[in-house]
Amino acid sequence: MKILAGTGASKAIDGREAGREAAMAALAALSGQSPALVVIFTTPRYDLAELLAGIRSVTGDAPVIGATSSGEMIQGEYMGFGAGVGVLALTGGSHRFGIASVANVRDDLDKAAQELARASKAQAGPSPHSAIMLLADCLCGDLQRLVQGVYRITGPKTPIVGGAASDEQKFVQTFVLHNDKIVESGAAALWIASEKPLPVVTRHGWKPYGAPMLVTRAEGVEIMEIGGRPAAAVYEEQLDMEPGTLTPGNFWGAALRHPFGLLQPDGSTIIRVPREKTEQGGLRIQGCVPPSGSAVQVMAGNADMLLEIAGEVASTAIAAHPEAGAIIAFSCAARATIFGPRASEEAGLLQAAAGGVPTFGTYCCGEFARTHGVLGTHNATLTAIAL
Amino acid sequence: MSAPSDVKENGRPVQGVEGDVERLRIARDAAIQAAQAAMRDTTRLTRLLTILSEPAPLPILLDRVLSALSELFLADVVVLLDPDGTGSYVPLAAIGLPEDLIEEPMSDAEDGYAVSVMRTRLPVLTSAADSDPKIDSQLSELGIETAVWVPVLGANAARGVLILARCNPAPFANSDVDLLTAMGGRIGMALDQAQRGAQLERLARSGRSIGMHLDEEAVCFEAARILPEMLNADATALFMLDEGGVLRRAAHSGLSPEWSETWRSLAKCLLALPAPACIRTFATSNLPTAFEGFGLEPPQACPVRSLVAVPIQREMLTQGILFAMRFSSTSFTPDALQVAELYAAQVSAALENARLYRAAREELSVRVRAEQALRASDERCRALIRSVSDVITILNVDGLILYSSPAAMKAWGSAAEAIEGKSLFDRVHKEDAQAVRELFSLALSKPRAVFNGEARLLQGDASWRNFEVILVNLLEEPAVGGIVATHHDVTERKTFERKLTKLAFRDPLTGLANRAFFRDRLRQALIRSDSEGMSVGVVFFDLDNFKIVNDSLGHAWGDKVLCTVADRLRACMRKDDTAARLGGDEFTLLVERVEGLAQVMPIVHRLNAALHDPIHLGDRDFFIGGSIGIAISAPNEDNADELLRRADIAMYHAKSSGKGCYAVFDELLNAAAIERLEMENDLRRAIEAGEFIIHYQPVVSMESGRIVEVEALVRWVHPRKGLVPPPEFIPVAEETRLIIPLGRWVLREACRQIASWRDRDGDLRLSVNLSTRQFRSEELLADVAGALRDNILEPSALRLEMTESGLIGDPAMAGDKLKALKQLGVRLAIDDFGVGYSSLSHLKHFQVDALKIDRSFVQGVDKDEHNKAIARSIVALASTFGLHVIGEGVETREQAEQLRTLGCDLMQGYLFSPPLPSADMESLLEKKLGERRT
Repeated sequence: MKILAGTGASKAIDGREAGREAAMAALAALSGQSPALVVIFTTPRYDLAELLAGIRSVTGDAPVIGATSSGEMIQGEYMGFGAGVGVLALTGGSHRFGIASVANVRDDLDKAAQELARASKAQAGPSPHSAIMLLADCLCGDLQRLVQGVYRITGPKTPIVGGAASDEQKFVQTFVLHNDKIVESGAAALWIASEKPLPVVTRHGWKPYGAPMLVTRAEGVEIMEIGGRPAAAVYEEQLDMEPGTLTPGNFWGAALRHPFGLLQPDGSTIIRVPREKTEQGGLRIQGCVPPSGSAVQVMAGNADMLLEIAGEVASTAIAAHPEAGAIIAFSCAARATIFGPRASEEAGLLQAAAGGVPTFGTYCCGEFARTHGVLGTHNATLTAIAL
Repeated sequence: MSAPSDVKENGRPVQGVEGDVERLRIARDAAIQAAQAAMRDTTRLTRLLTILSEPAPLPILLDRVLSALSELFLADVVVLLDPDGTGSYVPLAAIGLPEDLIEEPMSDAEDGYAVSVMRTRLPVLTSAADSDPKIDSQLSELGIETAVWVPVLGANAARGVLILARCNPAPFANSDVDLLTAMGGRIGMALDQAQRGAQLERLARSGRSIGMHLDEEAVCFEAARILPEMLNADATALFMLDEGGVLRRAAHSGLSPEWSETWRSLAKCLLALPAPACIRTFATSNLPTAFEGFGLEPPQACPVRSLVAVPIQREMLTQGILFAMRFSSTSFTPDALQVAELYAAQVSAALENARLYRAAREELSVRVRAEQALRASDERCRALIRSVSDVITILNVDGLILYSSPAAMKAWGSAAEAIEGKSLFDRVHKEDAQAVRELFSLALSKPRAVFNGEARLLQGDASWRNFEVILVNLLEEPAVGGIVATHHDVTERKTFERKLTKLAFRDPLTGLANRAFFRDRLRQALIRSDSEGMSVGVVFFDLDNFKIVNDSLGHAWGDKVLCTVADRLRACMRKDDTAARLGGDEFTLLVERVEGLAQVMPIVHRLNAALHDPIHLGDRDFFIGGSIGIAISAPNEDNADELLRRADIAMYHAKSSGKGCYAVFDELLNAAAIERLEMENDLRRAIEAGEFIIHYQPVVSMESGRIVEVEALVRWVHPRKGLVPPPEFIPVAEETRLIIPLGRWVLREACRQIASWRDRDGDLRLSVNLSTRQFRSEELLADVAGALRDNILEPSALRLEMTESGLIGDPAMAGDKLKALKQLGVRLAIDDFGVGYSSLSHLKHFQVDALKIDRSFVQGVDKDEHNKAIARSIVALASTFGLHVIGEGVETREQAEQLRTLGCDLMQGYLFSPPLPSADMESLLEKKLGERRT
């Protein structure tokens, strides 16, 4: 049985009002059926408790999962920073859903992730196929630990997809949402039990720019040395800059367009964005740091290159699951920044390629997609699941 | 070289500057791609070595390693089985196995991949896992399509298996398997180390748990309860002889009592063995054979598949047997047996204490007096209870013994009456006397307080035993009127502690330091050196041919090799340096307080020479050899793990440079590693793409002036680099085993060519070089026979050439192989003769037909008397054994003349012709034939 999906958005100033308005619009597409799942991506500017109350006043007891974001994609429309809230309402079709959340996960992300996966799986019940959608506070630590914890429970048969909540790139506080709870420093997981495989598609569009290099020292969230030399100096050299050119003021502008590609055994790259240059000449990385001994390469990309893959993500997902009723997409806030005035194009390209299947997405701060091996965290990447 | 018009856009050539730019872009992209691939491959080794060198508790370490393996090899599932350590095939650690599958044991079927890898220590690769019936159900369930099993090597044998699997059809490459196999060895060492540490902790705990019981039955119960955890066993049983000499089951756990009689019968047989067998540990993983060996009926339907039986002894007599049993076929490792023996010693000591306690209960009068005196406090009550199995004395203020309990007879070898009136201090070892007097003074100063210390006391007239001495001042107690001293014999405990310490810091096989101790010493040495502005050298080596000995002769001989190497290492080191065996065949040497490499190299040279001396095993000499890596610390810059890792990388580099080499770590090694990997990848591709050709160099008879033979020499026409010299690719091909398919191709192609030339010149012969690995390969005989048969070539037309050093690694095997080749009818030559051992006995033993004088002697033969003398002796040797002699690398008429004068008739070299492509060689042969006809 095909899933029915409806999306709604609101830019209302009051949280409760915005929630109610967006939810009502989403439900309108369900032909009178009750939603089995509600997904929310919202600007963090709302009073989130009020927002949830507004949505749930319309969707009733339907389980809710969501996160704050840095822009939303709603059926081809892009909502920029501070604009409002997007709601996706879904009937179950032949799917069953289970949601769990854990707050204050910072101490042991791995263990918390296992709890999440275990609890959401138990709620959804057994099924021949499944996928898990993971949302997490982007500031709670090494998010790869979270993906790895989930993977311990799912194994390779259950794809992992999702993204880290964002706060319009302020990096101060982000939230995930679960039913009527605003989860602090935590994570939420949606287990989707299905009769058919649920494909996850991931692309980034970045191209290699510099020479391949070896990370020789990395600790915590920082790369200290590349090729035995201070990482920032090597990075500047790769960008043909004089030593010391990059400063706290101009770093982000350069790094945004030149992330690192972590070289994979199959020749592909996983993107890692440097966020800051440290006083000691290291590079602080967003999310998950390439460990010592990793091979990396400076990448380059512009709006054209990064937008080129958007349509392919949606069309590949639909091709793999022709009966899909919705596509949920996770793009990166850094991508939106690069797109600049063309930021609405990614949402448009996704929807155009998805045809009549509604697309719903968020600009997040680190994307989750595990397809091969244990590594499942990305930056500046677009990933999507077709339900 | 491409012309500008080769670059096309939309099918049309791009001309001019645009074309140049496009070409440069293509070249740049190709270079970047090659560098990417090389960098990726290099980083795998570096990353894994980094993780393994960082200290971490075992579960965390394994999680990191398995995660990294999953990431670096794109494996969806990584499983580590450690049957030697865990006693079962339940995964010890896993990534990608969902939690409901992780507790299930993987298959331990005899024909299953895991058991097969354990047995053969060779990796297994499957690329059709979805239809492979041998795949474990857990993996099938996850939709695995391709997988690899690699052995995890422990100290001497495979202790576990590492499984990597993918849910997609991309197979694991051979280079992946090689690297994984190397990592398997490293993981094995980490497991060895961790397991030993955990066992020591458990031993220390078990000693306390068993020792706190003062009742024999309780000791037996506790001993049986704890043992399964100690040895990863599933069941245990303890049988003890009672006072009437009847063997009774004293305790058991994990197994139905219905099997009691089975084990009792086995225990009886073990007890009945003549000394010393009856006091040795017995272990088997083949129960039917073991039972039949004792004339017992093998138990039917009993779940036990492997067991260890340790004697419980008292005063050198076996009083009982303690069994630990496993329901899997996993045998108990030598380490486990050692732990079992230490544990049995603990049980024996606890039982002895319990017996003494029982006996002491009868010494009522002493105890009643002491009880009355000591009842005042709990502490004193505890001292009393302890004392019942100890010697109790009452001393006056001068330390004279007023009273002694009868236990003195047993403990000190003197009757109570004989020591009363004598000073306790007379029994104390002179080194401990001061401490005991101080303790005694303290006791005198504080009535009723309890003081304790340790001292050696005289037993009999000459031997010393360790005692814990507890003093209580009861001078004011009318019933006592003295200092009550209890003397508790702790000699066994002390011995045990010493053994534990040794086990914790020493490699039990060689007596060298183990990894933990070495690291600790290295850290301390770095701190000392840093403060003095000096450096520390780390020499890291492994044995080149150890695996051959271990595999062909068995672990017992392998152990002898390791002990011999350890002895030689000791002989090479300076007095204050530290030598260690890190595990397997890996050794390290810490050279302290040096100013630089110059002070380390003499030691390295001594070591290198020592490693290359043959090792005599049984009636054979083995050439083991080693590859040595050296790293020198920079003052105040390096840490222990980094230094060890560098020496390790240098050792890898030395190994890749050829066996028996050494290398000093420098930053260039990383670059060299990349180059080498690139070479390896290129080689694999080149073999598939057929990029090799053969050049032929004529061998000329000086007497007839004819070309009598051609030597086939392989050349690689690299698509980018052009002609690659053999010294650049042959060592890599040798190390990666690619030499086997390459050598096979050379043999077949050269035979095909010579067969065609012999149609015109029926006397022309061929010589082909065999590399060491090719010579040792099991396929060689079939390859040679096949090449001859398929090309209808007379065997005598083919001469196979081997280096002397390639033959003597295992002279017995070489002799057999050469004999078999002779039986095929081919001729044999030793190449580069004179460079290596030039051993007469080898010449005699190997029955070759010809010797080739190495070019290094030929090139100086007309000028250098030394070279001339060597060439002369080789010709004389050859003449003695009736062998042909061929001079290689002849470049001048003078050299040719000298060789001819010495009696060498056959020669090859640039004087006659360089190696030629087959078409040119064919023209030369035609020309020579034409000359002969005219």
